[in-house]
Formats: sequence, C-alpha cells, structure tokens
Amino acid sequence: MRRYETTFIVTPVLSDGEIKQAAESYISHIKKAGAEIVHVDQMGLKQLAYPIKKRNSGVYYSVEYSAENGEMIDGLELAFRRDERIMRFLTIKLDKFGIKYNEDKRSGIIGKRKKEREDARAKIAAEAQAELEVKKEANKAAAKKKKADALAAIEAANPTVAEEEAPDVEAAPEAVVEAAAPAVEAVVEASPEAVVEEAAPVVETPAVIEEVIETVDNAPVDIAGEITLDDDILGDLNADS
Amino acid sequence: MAQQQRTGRPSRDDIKFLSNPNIGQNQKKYCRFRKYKIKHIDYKDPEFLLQFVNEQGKLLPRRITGNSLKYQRKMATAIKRARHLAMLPYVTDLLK
Repeated sequence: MRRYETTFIVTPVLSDGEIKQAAESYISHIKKAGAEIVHVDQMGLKQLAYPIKKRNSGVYYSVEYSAENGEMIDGLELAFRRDERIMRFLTIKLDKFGIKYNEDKRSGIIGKRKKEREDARAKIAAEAQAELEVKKEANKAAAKKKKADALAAIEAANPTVAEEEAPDVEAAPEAVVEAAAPAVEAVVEASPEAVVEEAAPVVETPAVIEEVIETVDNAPVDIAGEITLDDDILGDLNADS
Repeated sequence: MAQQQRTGRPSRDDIKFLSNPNIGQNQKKYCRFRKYKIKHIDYKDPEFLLQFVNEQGKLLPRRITGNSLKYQRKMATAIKRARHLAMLPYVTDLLK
C-alpha cells in the first residue's frame, strides 16, 4: 500500500454547501477507485499568495489516502482538470517520514508549540484590548472630573457673575448662547458634554476661559491611548472609588 | 576563557565595549533539520518555509541557510509545492 496526499483548492464563489459537496464528490471518487481514506483535512478559506483566475482566496482541502498503486490518480487528476470549481490541485506520494509527520500532527505532537503560541498571542491581544478599555474609561472619568473641578473653581472665583447670569440663561438661553458663541464653541469642542448653563458665566472673564480650555485640553486621551494624568488626580480618583 | 585570551585581560562585567566584541568570531552554521531531527518538511506550512526564502520569495542558498544538501533539496521541493498551491508567491517584493 502506498500513501498519497492530494491537496486541492475549491473556488470560494460557491456557497458553503456547494463547496462541501464538491469536496465530498472527490472524496467519494477516491473511495470508489479502491483507495482507503486516512484523513480529510479541511484547511478552510485562505488568502492566496497570488491571484488565480482573478480570485484572491480559496478553500483548501487536503485528503490523505492509501492505495495499492497510483493508477487511480490519473483519473482523479483528469476529473480535477475538467472541473471549473477546482482552482489548483497537487498529489504527492508520502514517504515514511511524511506518514509519520502527518500522524504526529494529527495526534498533536507536531505543531503543539505553534498552536500554544497562537493561543497565547490571542490571549495577550484580548488582555491588552481589555486593559486599553479600562484605561480609556479611567481617562474619561479623570477628564470629566478635571473639567468639573475647573468649572467649580471659576464659579467659586466669581459667584456673583454666575448668580446674575443664571436667571438670564433660563429666560432666554438662545440669546446667551449667541452672545457667547465663540467661547462656548471652544469649550464644547473640547468637551462635548459641556453644559451651556455652566459655560455662561465664563463669558464675562476671558482670561478664565483660556484656563478652562487649557485644563480640558490637557486631560483627554492622547493618540497612543495611554494615560497622561497627574498624580494628584489619580489620587483623587482612588480616594473617590 | 576565549574572551580572556583574546583581550589579554580577565573578563569583567563592568567594562562596556563600544562595539560588540563578538563581531568577527563566526558562529558555525549548522543544518537545523539534522540538529533537531526533522525528517519531513511540510509544504502546507508556509510560515515555516518563509525562513528559507529572501524578500523576493527566492530560495536562499545553502551557504546562507546552512542546510545539508539532503535537506536543502527537500526544502526546495517543499517551497516549490507551496508555490504551486499559492501558499507562497513565485515572485514578489517586500515579502518580509
């Protein structure tokens, strides 16, 4: 008995069922020719290294079988050639090392480390993603807190203005917004949740506006997604939680 | 000991060299298939085969890979099979 291995690529334009059916038809072809199927490896959809018939991907199948001699392979390959669903095929005769290699691979002796490495990589990626999200949340919270602190400080600095402006805002919010347009816009850009009512007193004191914008600008997440926070704010957060 | 003989001084941890002192001592190349007793090269593992081609996807010569003749031939066959099955490119640029 000789051991052979046929790998073929089925075109990916077919539906899943059709692809499976195509592969099954060849497996049954091999069986009918008197060969014994050892293993069918469905390698799945893969990117091709270069386009074949203007397709960039293909569904790979690898069938290992043992036959008395190679006579049936001619018929198999003829069928492959005539079939438009098959993009490529390759039949090789396995030597004793190849047979051992395939058996070891199936039992998981070969390729164990590779699989472990892949699993570990996936795990690390997932963890990093989770960590990043946690960091982002913390950053957002810190930025919000900083903004609130700054606004509170301003209100504390000139409470009279806030009190005077407050009824006006309630009476005609639109007018106030129009008057404060440039300053409010800047604040809104920096922090979309900025409330008009809170921004209103700022209008009277341009020097303080800049301070607010600066503090808000400094707080948010930087491009790399890492935390750029002052220690005292982190301390505050910890104390809060 | 080798370091000691070359520099003529006892080797010390605190001395930092400007250039790598190991430059010039050629590491002996070896055939990894013989060393790790790999008997079969799988043509369906393009990631592994990538170690034996250059950036254009060409086979690397034995003088660079260090393979023994037997396994260099097997490796070349495996790469050619992988190319036929579009697992490796025939011609490309910036493969690595």
